[in-house]
Amino acid sequence: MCGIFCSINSTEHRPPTAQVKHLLAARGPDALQELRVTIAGTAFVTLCSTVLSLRGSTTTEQPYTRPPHSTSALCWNGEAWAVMGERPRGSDTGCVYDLLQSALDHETLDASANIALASAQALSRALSQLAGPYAFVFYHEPSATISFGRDFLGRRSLLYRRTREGSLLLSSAPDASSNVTWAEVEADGIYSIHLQSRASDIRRNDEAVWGDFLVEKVPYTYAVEPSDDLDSVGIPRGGP
Amino acid sequence: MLARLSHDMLPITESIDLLNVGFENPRAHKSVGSGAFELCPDRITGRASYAELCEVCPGRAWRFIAVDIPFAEFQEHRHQIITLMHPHNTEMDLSIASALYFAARGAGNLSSQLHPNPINYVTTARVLLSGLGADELFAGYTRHATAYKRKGFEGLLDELDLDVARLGKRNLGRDDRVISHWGKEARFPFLDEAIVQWALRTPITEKCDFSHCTGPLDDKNSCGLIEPGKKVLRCLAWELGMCKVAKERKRAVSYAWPPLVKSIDTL
Repeated sequence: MCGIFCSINSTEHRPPTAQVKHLLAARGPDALQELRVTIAGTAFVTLCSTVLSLRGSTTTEQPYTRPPHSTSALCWNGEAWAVMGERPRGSDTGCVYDLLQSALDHETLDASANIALASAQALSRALSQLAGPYAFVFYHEPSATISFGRDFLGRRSLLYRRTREGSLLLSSAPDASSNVTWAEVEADGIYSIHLQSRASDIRRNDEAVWGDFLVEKVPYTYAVEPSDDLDSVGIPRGGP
Repeated sequence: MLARLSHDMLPITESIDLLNVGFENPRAHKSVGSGAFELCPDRITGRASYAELCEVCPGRAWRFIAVDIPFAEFQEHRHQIITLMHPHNTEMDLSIASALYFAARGAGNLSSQLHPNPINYVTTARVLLSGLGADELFAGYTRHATAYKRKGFEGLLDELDLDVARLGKRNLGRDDRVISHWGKEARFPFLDEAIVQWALRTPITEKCDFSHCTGPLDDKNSCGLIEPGKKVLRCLAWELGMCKVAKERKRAVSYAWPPLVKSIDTL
């Protein structure tokens, strides 16, 4: 299956270690690509994806972007069996990209809004229309947010690490050793970070602070009866 | 069940590989030698299921792949498995992760109707189907029967509520890491959103049948012999012609020897 790596650091780009790269390539032998994004002054993001191609006639490379219109980037380790009741034709990556991008593009944010929280809510609503297993990382360029999460049953791996230097790392596979430990990203909701904010600026000292960054979470909730606007999935239902 | 249903969905020219993993227990296998793998209860069940599939679904190239892991080979891979399953780190985790790891590698001794004498074989399938989730949704574990015995339907429902709530924390990330390491994808049909939704909405009495006793009846072909745990699935197996599978008892030690994992050649 596909492999995902993402590092977010406040001073420099942090590529995946050789061991992580090797493990990701084992998961996704069909393609490997790295993408770097710099948010002036506040964040350096490295995304690295490997792909195991199972659907469609060609390999869809990741991180998935759509130049020149959009430089938002998606790392998708999942299968969208249905989006709003319809099965995507061929590879689902482009379809999921459109779903997430339009959810955030349509989100109007004023200056005082908690951009990370609003992003997580919008993506949560969008993903409740998707049936299938997933772990993903999505960089949305217009809002300068990174969002990530796993499906509500946690069918795909995603781990995180906070380094001593304040980096946040996300990875499908761990380069664990005696002094490097990872934790599971809980499969309990959608997480978002606003890259232009620093945790220290916002003065929060709670479990939302991961290294130098503030991570907002919108938890999944369950609705057993499908509502009218959820064609494909009765559970989960994201957001308040 | 998944193998039986796959047969109905795939073109008849597609082969279906059945992967069954056995580990050498260095203490128990000393006197029996390499034949010990065949004595493992889940290996016996696995071969019986394979035989029934060949009988009920003729024309399909079923391949039974016996993945036999000697202790020395397990030791060679142990560190890699421990790295992959991190942050999980218990012996139980290692036991389950190892089974899935070697199943996903898919290298073993192949028997098929074309090759009744086993030959070395590595599956080319990239997609693996696992039945994980069926026991949680349809009350297939022994502890469900125990819960019913102790506290009736209320006890059983409480136990099932816990199981469903725990599905999201059920270590599937760990399983994904050890399986995907081989460039394969695991799929869990019982965890499909529509199935989970249906199971949650369906009354308990339509999924399992603890209120009725099973016991020998005069007609040995009667489905009254089907045990109550996940009875809806057993009845389905019965209707699809898999009567022996339908009657197979749930084993208490299901993690000492790994469950059957199936794979499909191309999808």
